[in-house]
Amino acid sequence: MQLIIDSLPLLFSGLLITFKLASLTLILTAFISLIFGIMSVSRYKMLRIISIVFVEVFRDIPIVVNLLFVYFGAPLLGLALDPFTAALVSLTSWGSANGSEIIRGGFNSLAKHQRESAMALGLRPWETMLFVLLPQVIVPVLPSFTGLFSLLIQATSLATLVGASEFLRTANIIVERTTMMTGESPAFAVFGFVLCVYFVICFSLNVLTSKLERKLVKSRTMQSQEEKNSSNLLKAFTESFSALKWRKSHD
Amino acid sequence: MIQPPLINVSGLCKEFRGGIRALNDINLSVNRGEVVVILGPSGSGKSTLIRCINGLEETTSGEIKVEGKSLAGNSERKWRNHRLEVGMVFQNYALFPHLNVIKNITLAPLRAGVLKKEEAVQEARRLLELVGLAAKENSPVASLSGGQQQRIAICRALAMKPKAILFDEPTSALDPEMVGEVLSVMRRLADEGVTMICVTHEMGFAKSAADRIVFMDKGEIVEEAPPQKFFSAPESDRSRRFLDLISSHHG
Repeated sequence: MQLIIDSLPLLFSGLLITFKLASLTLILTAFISLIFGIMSVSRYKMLRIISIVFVEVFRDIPIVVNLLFVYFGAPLLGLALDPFTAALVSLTSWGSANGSEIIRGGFNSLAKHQRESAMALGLRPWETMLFVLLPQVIVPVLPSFTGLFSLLIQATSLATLVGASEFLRTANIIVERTTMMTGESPAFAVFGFVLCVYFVICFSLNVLTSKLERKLVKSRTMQSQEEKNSSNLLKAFTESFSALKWRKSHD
Repeated sequence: MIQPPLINVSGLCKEFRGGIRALNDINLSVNRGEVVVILGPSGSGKSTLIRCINGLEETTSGEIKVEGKSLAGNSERKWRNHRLEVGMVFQNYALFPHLNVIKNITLAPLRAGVLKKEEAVQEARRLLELVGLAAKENSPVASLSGGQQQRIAICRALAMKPKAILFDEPTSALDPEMVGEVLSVMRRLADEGVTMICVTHEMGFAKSAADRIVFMDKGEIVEEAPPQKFFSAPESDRSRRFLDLISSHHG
C-alpha cells in the first residue's frame, strides 16, 4: 500500500496520458463514426463504397495487430509515429469502423417513410439528414456507443505494447523496479490497483451515459406530461365540439 | 386564354426492378380546384401513380407537367421545387417523432424560407385550429392518436401552401372510429377548393367529395367519370366487378 502511495506521482502521470489518449480517441471516434455512418447511407454510390471498405478493413483486424502494424509499419512509409500517435491512430480507426457500423444500423432502423415525408415536404437532402434523420438516430445508438467507448478506454492499455508511457506501462515499470530493488514482486497490489482504476473509469462512464440517455428520452415525453397537466376541460370540450360541428356540416 | 391543367401526366410508365410493370401508359390531367379520387383494387398502381407525381418513385417513361412545365427526367433540384408546390399525406402519417406538433408543421416552411418564424408559428396555429387540434401544439406526436396524427400531417402539408395535395390512402392505417375525423378535414379542404388527388378506399368520401373518379386496375386507368355516373352506371366490366365486390362486402 505504501508502495502505491509512494508511486502515485508516477502512476498519475501515466493515468494522465491514458486520459489524454482515451479522450482524444473518443472524440475522434465519435466524429469519424458520424462521417462514415452518414456516408454509408448516402445517395452517392461512391461514398457508400468508401464507407463500406473503411468499415470492413478496420473492423476485421484485431486492434493489437493494427497497433503493431501502424507503429512498426509507418516508418516504412517515411512516417515515424511516436507510440502515443500510433496508438491514437489505430484505436481511432478501429473505433470509427465499429462506430460507423452502429450509426448505419441506426439509420437503417428508421422507417423509410421518414426520409420520404421529409423529401415530400421539399426539404433538401442535407436538411433531411440534419433535421429529420440524424436527431432520431442519436438516442437509439447511445447504448451501443457507450459499449464501444468503454472498450476503447480499456483498449488504451494496449498502447503499452508499443511503449507509450500510459497508465498500465507506468504500473509495469513500478512492478519491475520494485522487484529488482527489493526482490519481492508487488505485482498483485499494483495491478490490482490498476484494475480498480480502469473499472471505476468505465463504470462511471456507463452510469453517466445511461443517465444521459434516460434524460434524453424523458425530455421527449416530458412535454406530454406538462401538456396533460395543463390541459383543462374547456380545451377538451372546445376541441371535441369543433370536431363535431365539422362532421355535422359536412356529412 | 386557356390555362394549362395544374398537373398533367402523359404516357407515364413505371417498371420496378425485375420488370414488374406497375403503371402502363397513364394519362391524367387535374385542373385547379379539382378533387380527383383514384379507386381500384390493391396492386392496381394507385399509390405508385401518386408517388410518381411527387417524384418519390422514378418514372420509367412518360411526362409529368405542372402548370405546363415538364418535370420528367429532370434533376433532383427541379423535383425539390416541384415538391414544394405539391404536398403529400401518407398512409402512416410519417410525422417526425422527435419534434413536437408545432415544429413538425413549421420545419419545412421555415427551411424553405416560405415563411418567417412568427408567421410560420401563426400559420401552424391557424391550421391546428382548423383541424380541431389547437390544444395539442406542444405535444410530442407519439402522445397523439392515429387520427390526430393524420390531421397534423395534413396541416404539415398545408403549411407549405401547396398548389395541390396528394393523399396516399390517408385513412387506411386508422382505427375505424378515427376515419371520420380525418375525412371531415379532407372534405372541408375539398369544399374550400384545394386541388386534391386522393387514393382511398372510402367510397362515401369518393361519392360525396370527388369531382371525378379515376378507376385503375393492373396499372392502367380503366375508367374516368364523375362520381354519380361511376357509382350508378360504371362503363367497364372491371369497374362493375370492383363495385360489386365492395358493395357485397359492405352489405
